[in-house]
Amino acid sequence: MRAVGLDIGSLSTKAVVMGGDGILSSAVVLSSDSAESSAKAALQQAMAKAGQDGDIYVVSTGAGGKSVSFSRQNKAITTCLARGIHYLLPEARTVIDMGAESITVVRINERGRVSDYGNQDKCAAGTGIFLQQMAKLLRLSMEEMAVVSTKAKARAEITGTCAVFAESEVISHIHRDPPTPVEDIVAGIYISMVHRIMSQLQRVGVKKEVAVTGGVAANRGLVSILEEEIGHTVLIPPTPELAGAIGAALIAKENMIQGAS
Amino acid sequence: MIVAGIDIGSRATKAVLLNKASVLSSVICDTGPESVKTSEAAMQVLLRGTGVSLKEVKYTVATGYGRVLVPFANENVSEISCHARGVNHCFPSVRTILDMGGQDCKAIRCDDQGRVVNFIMNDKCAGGTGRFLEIIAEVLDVPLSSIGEVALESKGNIPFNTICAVFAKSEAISYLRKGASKGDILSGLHEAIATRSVNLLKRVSIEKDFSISGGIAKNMGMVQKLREKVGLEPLLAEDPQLMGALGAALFARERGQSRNGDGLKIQYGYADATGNYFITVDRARCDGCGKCVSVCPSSVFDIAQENGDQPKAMVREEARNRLSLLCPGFSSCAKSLKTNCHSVCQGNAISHTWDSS
Repeated sequence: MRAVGLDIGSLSTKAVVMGGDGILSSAVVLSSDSAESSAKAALQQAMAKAGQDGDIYVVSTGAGGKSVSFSRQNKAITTCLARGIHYLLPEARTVIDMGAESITVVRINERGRVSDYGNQDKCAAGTGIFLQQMAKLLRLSMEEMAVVSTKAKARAEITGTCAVFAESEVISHIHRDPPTPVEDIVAGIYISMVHRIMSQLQRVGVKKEVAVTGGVAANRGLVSILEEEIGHTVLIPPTPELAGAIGAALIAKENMIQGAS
Repeated sequence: MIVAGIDIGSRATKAVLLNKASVLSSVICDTGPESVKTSEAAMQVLLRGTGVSLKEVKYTVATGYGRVLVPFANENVSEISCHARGVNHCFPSVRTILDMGGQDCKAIRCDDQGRVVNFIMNDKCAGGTGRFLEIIAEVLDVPLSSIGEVALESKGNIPFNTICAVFAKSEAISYLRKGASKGDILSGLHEAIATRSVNLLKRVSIEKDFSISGGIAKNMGMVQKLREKVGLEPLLAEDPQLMGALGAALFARERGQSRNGDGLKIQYGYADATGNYFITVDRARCDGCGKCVSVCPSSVFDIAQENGDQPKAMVREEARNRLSLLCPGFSSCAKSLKTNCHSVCQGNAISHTWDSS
């Protein structure tokens, strides 16, 4: 029997298969309207990669975690993030998860358990969707945005309290005479997102080391501005988007061992 | 006397032409990217067919988001004051107003004279604004003007737990894919916005009568939801979208009269929800000595000659819209400086509205 962690996010669904010695395989698929079918697709891919087809023990988490019929247990994303990051980066005490539709900050203890958390999922400002919308507007890819931002001389003023209004602010920067340079606009977008993240972070409290997870963490430009605001470097695991799924898989493995003994 | 009020909103521009007794004409058009051009075009349309020329318009008050950019306006007044004034003109009994605009939403409490007592506004989030409804109408492919009716046709509504326009859009798409009817989706969204608006209203406390102004007040679906949630029958003007422009025109009439009345006292400044900011110069008492010009720490004054008259003191054009920021107020000025405009003025020609002393 294999332990599997499934993280059904609002934008992508992640699956991790865990063996005796660690992670065997992982898969990321786009979430569809049905959490069940996204979960199945991710699971099949991950199992195929691992060359496994036997019994599985699934723990699910994320926005659609409750709707997966074949999951043995549904765990809160904060719990899974804490567990996952503790496994990947044992020295981390604070996790900032920058997801597609939410910002979650979790403070964890030395055993990888949650001591406090804050979650913002009511508003798109500062989330991955916001960044995606901005990239589309500027006709840049995420990678291009990150590269461009390093050349910024100033940061365009974007209040960023609302994704819809920020869009009009960006448009007016583009049409200004003379137009605001694209690199300054990108830096302005990043800083507005970082401010949203910081307000969440301040509520929960920062404790060193700080780890950053979620799909948005792959964006170096944003992370370097975040580091500036926090005042020290942050840790990024090699696969930041998988942290939640890895945590779920670890819980699955523990449950299996407990069940067997 | 003919006066005009122009309301440059974030999405739409409204204008009202007023004579002594009644509204002569009104216009509603889109606010283009250049609000200066929009304001000029709106004024042209407003005058068309009335036989009134621009010169005959004695006083113009501009309000709304783009109010500082109207080249022909004599004065600016905040849209909150104007909405309260406009609604008060139509319904003197109204004490609570919900103004639902293109990019913001305001809850206003006013007194029996239409003066603002308290207000609270949301301009940080698109939830509950016209922009939100525009996005949803586009996604559902229903014309903006009929989303309210479609929402009213629904039998059950789908509960939306978000008022974030971005999330609501993706939620609406996924409900649509699952086969939910457009009416039920729209009804759910209208309900969510109404709930949020009522929360805004509760913060200024709801007192009857209740009125809704702004473009969204034309959406019968929204009006119905608000009627249910507020528990009061909203008094709706013939065109609720014009309330701001009407209020501005009423302010224009008042200001124009006080200016023409004796022709001697001239008010410079503006009023907004936080108070009145006017400096009045009594031209009969001013001898044009210019001491106020040199003594004012913020250089508010200037001496100018008008129509061949004697040179008199006036408030500089650039300072008129920013008086509350520039002028420290007479009492604080008197404390920090040995001299101030009041003390140097021999004829006692200068007065401030926002001084307690």
